Amino acid sequence: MTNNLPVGAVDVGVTGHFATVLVFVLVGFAFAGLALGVAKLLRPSAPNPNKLTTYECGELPRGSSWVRFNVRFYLIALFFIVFDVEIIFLFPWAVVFKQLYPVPGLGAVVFWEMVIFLSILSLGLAYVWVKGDLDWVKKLIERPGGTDQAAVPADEEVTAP
Amino acid sequence: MTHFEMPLDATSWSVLLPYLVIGGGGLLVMLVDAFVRTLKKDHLSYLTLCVFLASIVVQIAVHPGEGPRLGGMLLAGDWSRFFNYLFAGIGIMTTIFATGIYDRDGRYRPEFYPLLLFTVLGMMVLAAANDLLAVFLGLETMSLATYILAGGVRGNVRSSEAGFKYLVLGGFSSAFLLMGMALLYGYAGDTNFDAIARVLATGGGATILVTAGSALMLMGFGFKVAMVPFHMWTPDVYDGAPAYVTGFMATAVKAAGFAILLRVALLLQPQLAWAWYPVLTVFAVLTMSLGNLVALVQNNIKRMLAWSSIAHAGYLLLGVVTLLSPAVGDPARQALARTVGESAASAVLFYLVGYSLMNLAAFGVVNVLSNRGGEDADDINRYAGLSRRRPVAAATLAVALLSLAGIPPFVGFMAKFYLFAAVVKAGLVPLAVIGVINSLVSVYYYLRVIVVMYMKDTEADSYDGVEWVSVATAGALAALVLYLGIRPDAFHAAAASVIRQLPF
Repeated sequence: MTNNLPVGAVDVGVTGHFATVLVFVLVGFAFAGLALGVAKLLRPSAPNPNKLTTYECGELPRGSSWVRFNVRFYLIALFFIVFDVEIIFLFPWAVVFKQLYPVPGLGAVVFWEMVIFLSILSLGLAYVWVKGDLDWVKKLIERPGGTDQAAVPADEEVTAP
Repeated sequence: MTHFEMPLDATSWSVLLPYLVIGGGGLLVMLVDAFVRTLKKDHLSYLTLCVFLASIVVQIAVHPGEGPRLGGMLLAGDWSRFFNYLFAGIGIMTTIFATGIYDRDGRYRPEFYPLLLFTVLGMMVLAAANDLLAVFLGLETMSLATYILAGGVRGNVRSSEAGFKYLVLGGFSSAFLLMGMALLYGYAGDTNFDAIARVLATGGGATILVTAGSALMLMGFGFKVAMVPFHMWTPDVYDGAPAYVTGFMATAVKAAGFAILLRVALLLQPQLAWAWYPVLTVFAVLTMSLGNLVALVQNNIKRMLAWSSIAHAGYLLLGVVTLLSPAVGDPARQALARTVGESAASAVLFYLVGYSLMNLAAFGVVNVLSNRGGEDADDINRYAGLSRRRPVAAATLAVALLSLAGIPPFVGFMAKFYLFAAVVKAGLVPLAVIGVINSLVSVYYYLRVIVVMYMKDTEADSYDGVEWVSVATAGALAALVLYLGIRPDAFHAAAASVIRQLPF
């Protein structure tokens, strides 16, 4: 820990590092509090019920904002996150790979480890693709006398709650 | 660059083999499920069983020696071997129980099999972990898959509730654990167990960091093993999850939690026994007592077994408490300290195996019966007359429950005997007395089920299907419970030798 300090830096020890984090947190809170407090002091106060309505790009809001979103949006979001995280892994790997590539025997290991990781991710992609989870409209069945809520995928059976 | 150099020679790879078999097997099962169109229902189950058996065969065939491997990430040797066998065995039983259900209820859920394999992979990494990073990796692999397994019955509100509760609370506990690890890293300047042990031995660093860090880690592990006061999720999750998943969680997840709890307790024992010992003593007593007392009033057999699993976590915690007791830490009496420590740790291992056997046998039967449908399928009153309708299932459940109650000649008795003997050896007689009193209390609610099964009249019960594979498997487990109860010596000696090979 001591041997790779930047030039001119002082080794403050592990407790010192935690103190740095603490100072950072405190400064963060102070900064936010200061900004909000100054704004509170400076701005004119003119409450108006219209200001409390939901902002929908200037349109008048219709209905409650607490609506159920289709679960398929979450699927897309989840899917995005998976590959987002993959990128987060890839960047540090690329940095380390540049250093490790010349080391005999190690470069190949590091390279193939990432290949394995990516292929596992691709397997997951292939899995959801084949299973039809990437289709926006999955095959649905109507429960007898049911509403739109009761529509479930064909391969599922609704049991008693 | 010395920091990056990992000894990736042949022995290192051979250490990884069982893990690769399970992980690769999980991926294979997933792919077969997605791409093989002509698949019959049970084929995935057979494939999963083959993967588990292959991992056991690899484990038997490959001897990577002792000590930390892969840059100190994993601990090779009898300790990880022991737990790998245990997890693979529990995985096999769970696969069999689950498959029997899929045949019957028509809700075929192929994603269960790869998830089960990934869970077991996480447990194996967790038990063998020799580094805080490996601990977290294993714990999260295990937990994430278990969350899905618990909520696995889609369309069933109770199962979804179980999965959601477990996910949210498990996320909390992981956060605590991670914060504790960060503090411990701050203390030691390293995540490796050996390095942490070295720093602890020299006594350097800020004690406040290691004390607070280990307290947070204790919360994380305490959640996984359902230790009071971190137990509140247990009854709801165990009740809502399908019975085969509940059996899996009550045995394998608990065993994995205790594996890492034992490792960390042994690691921190020299420096932190003064802090952990009183805290864990209180928690152990609370866990036993609350678990048993609340189990007394349960009418749902899955909830009853959930509270009983909390109580058993309390007995197991007694073993950990004994490890941290002043008798073990006493430098003046080295020889006594060694024997007490060894007997306590090996008693915990023996208890984990015995508990897994008897609990799986019980859940195997409950699983078949909870499938008969209806809101009250798990109600204890519906077990009335079971001995006449399904004598094998009733006898299996009776053996399992008697063993859970700690009645000789079953393994539950021997497990408790070894455990309480170690507690007494450490001079903690009051704790042993509390443990025995708790065992006596627990006899009531276990026997109640047996009384209902054998002495109440048969009520009309339309469900007559006997899933004989599951019942036979549970019966075999019950036979093993009886056998280990009569001939525990060899196995107990094996557990003791596992403990002797631990580095600390």
